[in-house]
Amino acid sequence: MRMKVLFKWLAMGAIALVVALGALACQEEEAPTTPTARTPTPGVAGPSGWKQVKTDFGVTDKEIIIGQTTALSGSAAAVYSPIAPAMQAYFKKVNQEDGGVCGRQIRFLVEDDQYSPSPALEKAKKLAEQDKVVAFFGNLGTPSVTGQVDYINDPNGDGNPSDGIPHLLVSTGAGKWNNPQKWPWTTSFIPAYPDEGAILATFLNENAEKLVGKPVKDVRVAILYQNDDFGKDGRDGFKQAFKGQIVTEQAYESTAADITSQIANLRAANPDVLYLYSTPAFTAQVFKYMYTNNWKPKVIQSYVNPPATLNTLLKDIGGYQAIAGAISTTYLLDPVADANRPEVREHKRIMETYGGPPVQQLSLYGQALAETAVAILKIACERGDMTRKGVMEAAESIKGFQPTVLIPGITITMSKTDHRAVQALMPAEIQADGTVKWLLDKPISTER
Amino acid sequence: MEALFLAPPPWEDWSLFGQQIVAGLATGAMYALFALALVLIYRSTDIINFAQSEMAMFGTFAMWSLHLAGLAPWQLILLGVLFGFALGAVVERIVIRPVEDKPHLNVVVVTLGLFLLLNSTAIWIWAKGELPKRFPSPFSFKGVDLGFATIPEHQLGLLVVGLGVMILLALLFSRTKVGLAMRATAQNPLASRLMGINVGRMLTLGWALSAALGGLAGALIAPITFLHPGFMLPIFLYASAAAVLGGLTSAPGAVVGGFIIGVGENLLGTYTPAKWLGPEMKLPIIMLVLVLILLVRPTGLFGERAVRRV
Amino acid sequence: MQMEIWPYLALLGGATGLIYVMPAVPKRWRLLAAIALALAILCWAPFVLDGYRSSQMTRIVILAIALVGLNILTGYNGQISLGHGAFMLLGMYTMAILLDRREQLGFIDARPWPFWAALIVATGLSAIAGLCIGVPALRLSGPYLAIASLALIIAFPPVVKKYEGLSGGVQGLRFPTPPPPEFLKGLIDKVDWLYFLALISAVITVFLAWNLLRGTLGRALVAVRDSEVAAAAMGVPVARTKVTAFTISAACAGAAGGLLALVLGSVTPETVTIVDSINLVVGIVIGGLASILGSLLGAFAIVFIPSDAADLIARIPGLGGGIVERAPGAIQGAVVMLVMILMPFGVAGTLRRLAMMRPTQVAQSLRQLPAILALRAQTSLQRLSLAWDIRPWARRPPTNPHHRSQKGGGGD
Repeated sequence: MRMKVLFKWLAMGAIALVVALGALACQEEEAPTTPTARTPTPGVAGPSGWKQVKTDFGVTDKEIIIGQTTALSGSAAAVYSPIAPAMQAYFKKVNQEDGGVCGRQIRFLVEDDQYSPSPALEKAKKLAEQDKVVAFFGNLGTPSVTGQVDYINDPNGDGNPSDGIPHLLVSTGAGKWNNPQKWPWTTSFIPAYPDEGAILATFLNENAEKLVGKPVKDVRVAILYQNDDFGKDGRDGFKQAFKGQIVTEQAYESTAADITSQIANLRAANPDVLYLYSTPAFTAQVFKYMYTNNWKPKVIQSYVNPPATLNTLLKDIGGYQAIAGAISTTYLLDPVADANRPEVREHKRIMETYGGPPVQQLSLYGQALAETAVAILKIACERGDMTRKGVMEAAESIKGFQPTVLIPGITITMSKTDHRAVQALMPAEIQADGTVKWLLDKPISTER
Repeated sequence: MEALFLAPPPWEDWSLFGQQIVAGLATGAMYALFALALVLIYRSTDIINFAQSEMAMFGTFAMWSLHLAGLAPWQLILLGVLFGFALGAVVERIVIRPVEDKPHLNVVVVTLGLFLLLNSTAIWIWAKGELPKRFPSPFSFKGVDLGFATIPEHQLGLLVVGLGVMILLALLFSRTKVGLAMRATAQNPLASRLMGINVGRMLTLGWALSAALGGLAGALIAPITFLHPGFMLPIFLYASAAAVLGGLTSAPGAVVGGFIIGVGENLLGTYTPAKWLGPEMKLPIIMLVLVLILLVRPTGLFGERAVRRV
Repeated sequence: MQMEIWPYLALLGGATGLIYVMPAVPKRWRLLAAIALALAILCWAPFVLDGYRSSQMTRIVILAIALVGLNILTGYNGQISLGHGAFMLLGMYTMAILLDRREQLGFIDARPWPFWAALIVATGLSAIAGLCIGVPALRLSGPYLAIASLALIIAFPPVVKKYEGLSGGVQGLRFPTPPPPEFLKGLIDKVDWLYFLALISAVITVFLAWNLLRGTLGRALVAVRDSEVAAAAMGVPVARTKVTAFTISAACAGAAGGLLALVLGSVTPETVTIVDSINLVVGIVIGGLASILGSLLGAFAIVFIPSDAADLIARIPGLGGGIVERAPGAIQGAVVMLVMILMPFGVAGTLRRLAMMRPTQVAQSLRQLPAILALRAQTSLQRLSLAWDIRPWARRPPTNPHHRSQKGGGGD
């Protein structure tokens, strides 16, 4: 009996010891105030371009700390995984070759939100309160941004949004992020899906004779869309603006494997034009079906289907030959068709030098976003105000900024009432030799 | 313009009806092939392997890397099967063996952990470049005209392979000594040991064969759905439904289950009123059909009725 | 004062554990004291942790409610359900429909209900759904039940997306989070108030579950799990027990879903995914089956493994680097597998076994430890060799009496 009591005291002591050790060993690191492990390039040693600015969070004499929540694990992680590394690579280049922004090194913190609303909200709190970032750039994913947007615009929940954090350039195409009244700190980046749908519809309205050989009111369109907010937004935008006949709509779940059934239904409706608001794996299935069944309608598809990707996927049936004539929109340069342009070559150099992913549409996208972020921070620096509010005002005053990897003519302009970044899209036709032919002289604006 | 049905009824457009059936058989073949792997592992180890899809995906990605190095599609498939065999054996030895004698749920959770591990490792290794990737097929995608419908050559090949594997598996389990030993091991490991069966070897063999079959399925499915780290997950979900529908202990059952789900899905998506049902609801409807069939036959259409000893 | 999360958790677990094993005090008092202390430390959490960790604690408490219910079904009653996420989603949507400012279905008007009424309705509706699912589930068992329940969470989102008038379709529903009640205004702020609401709900759930499991129902559940035929022979109403288990677990999941909706302020068809639903089962297995403590620990595992396992592992000197940034999921998966292999009865089960060990047993194990480790190492190396038993011509290795007694049947 005594043995038992003694043993229990020993056990208590052991537990206490282990707990104390564990608590000490697992202290989280303080948010450091000095840059970590980055040796400044010779020649940029001192604070060149350095300026005294007003700061409240995330900006010290040596660093600018910005953050992003994105999907590093979970269903969407694989698809979007090149974006964050591409942005990191670009920021590294700015730090090393351009001396940072405002003479300060950019530190870009990326947190995993598992593409789910609750963890996205939690990680947003972590970045805002623990790491004290000055702004969010490029938070990814509609579910994630939906979960965190109310908090970011009003962290203490008192109805007064003055304590918000800039929630800039969110990487989702949902139309609702352009709402400065409800969410004054949130801006979108990519053209919204409904806007793209409307632009494609307008283009078809105006060019029906040339494309299909009929007046627009006789044009028969069959729609294939993904059954989530991406697909539905694209479908709704198109339907609202299109003046012809929509003969059938087929939906597929993003968890579907094979959509031959839906495609067969599209064909049975005998359309002139196929409007595909789908992602590359499924768009490619449509083209394969067209090849197998010798069916050649005109195809209009969303910009999330890069021609280079489709070409690789459809190698068995001829690559670019199979998709030649398809019409889409674009705002980024094409990694294959424009590979010889100096901008894309420079992009390749940056990615290769600073550990970015291989050149692809998403790496160009990441660099476009990062360039815009740097531009906004520079504006804030020039105005002398790099508080959170200052960065927000800088974002709202950006006018006519053109990231190098965007199509010439597409610029970024925002204002207090307009929180869309990329404001235009260029309709383009894919050619059999892999080039992408721009169909208009000027891009169409997404102004509604 | 908002018609009640999205498609004319079958008797008005037999061609569309035929297309839906043929497409359903092709899709069903995909589910069936993978369902056979699930049946195999269930029959030999009494477990559902939730990491099956990721093991197949991992093997297919590995084959894709070899393809870049210049190997031909038939070689890739063969290597994929061998890779799957090795992967299955290794997983069973290292990961499953320690938890084999524990409650079934533990093994399930271990396979779920393995799922996550393989999925993330595949992302780490292969997701830097563009996704999805193209996986080559030994067949072309030219249409084969069946009169009332056209089916791509590749899908026809998949169908034939699926039926072939089904026959082989059924023969394995019913006619061979090894198959008998595997079934005994699953039903009663202790008694099997007493009868002189090397239980460990049978379990390893079961996992290895199942993973090999998964690898074959992956290599034949990837050309249709394209290759990305999540491409086998929908197949797994449908295939487990198919396997359960046909009876987890029956290879022909898995194939029949696969066809029922494939064809049923297509017909339900096409010929139901669009307003309340229609293509977006075909998944819930087919799941409901699955549950209803299970209620009538709780161990699947062709599954063995479990005799419970008291 | 501010505390980091790991010292806080160490304090929570350590202090509770210490009180629990304290010698010379009768068990009942120890248990009560431990629970009281744990509650006190939990109530202290929002004031001492930062916003990020506080939010995680809220989610843990909410998930604990769902896991307690699921453990009743799967741990105590042996019915595997992979689709409980569907009940959570049902609870979330019920909450959202009743609390938002839109009119739906013609009889649910635009005025938002008080949140407690909505929560009760959400729980009740999920319970009814559980009843409806539990009856057909009587026919199924084992993997058939598991896959059929998976069909629930697979099929639910498309149904929600289709009937847009009620559910807001793919965009989902948004509603304002209810403010704290009048008598608490000023004491705690809006966010912490939800934490305390969840904590109170969790305490009520745990208390009800504990009472239930202590009584006839608890014994009936376990009897049915262990042997349905024997239980029926003893007069246990098998069907009623199984359906009750389903109903209770669905009610808990619905309540958890409702609370989660309150915290998020919005709900979409993708808020609870297939993976989340399967994670619930992973949680109870890691935490410990057939154990209320196991459910609570499982909730911690579900939340902390995805968010911090990768970071923690990276801090171990020698590891880290690329894999943490690019693929944290790999580390999470490895952690889940390791926990399962090392602690097959879950964390709670292992703790229970540790607490039950007699001193003499411990001393004996410690003395034999070097010999056991050496033997394990030897067989592991041999076992890893793939040629181990695939080679047909191999001689069987000499059987080891010590080894056989541990494995109970002699493997290789």
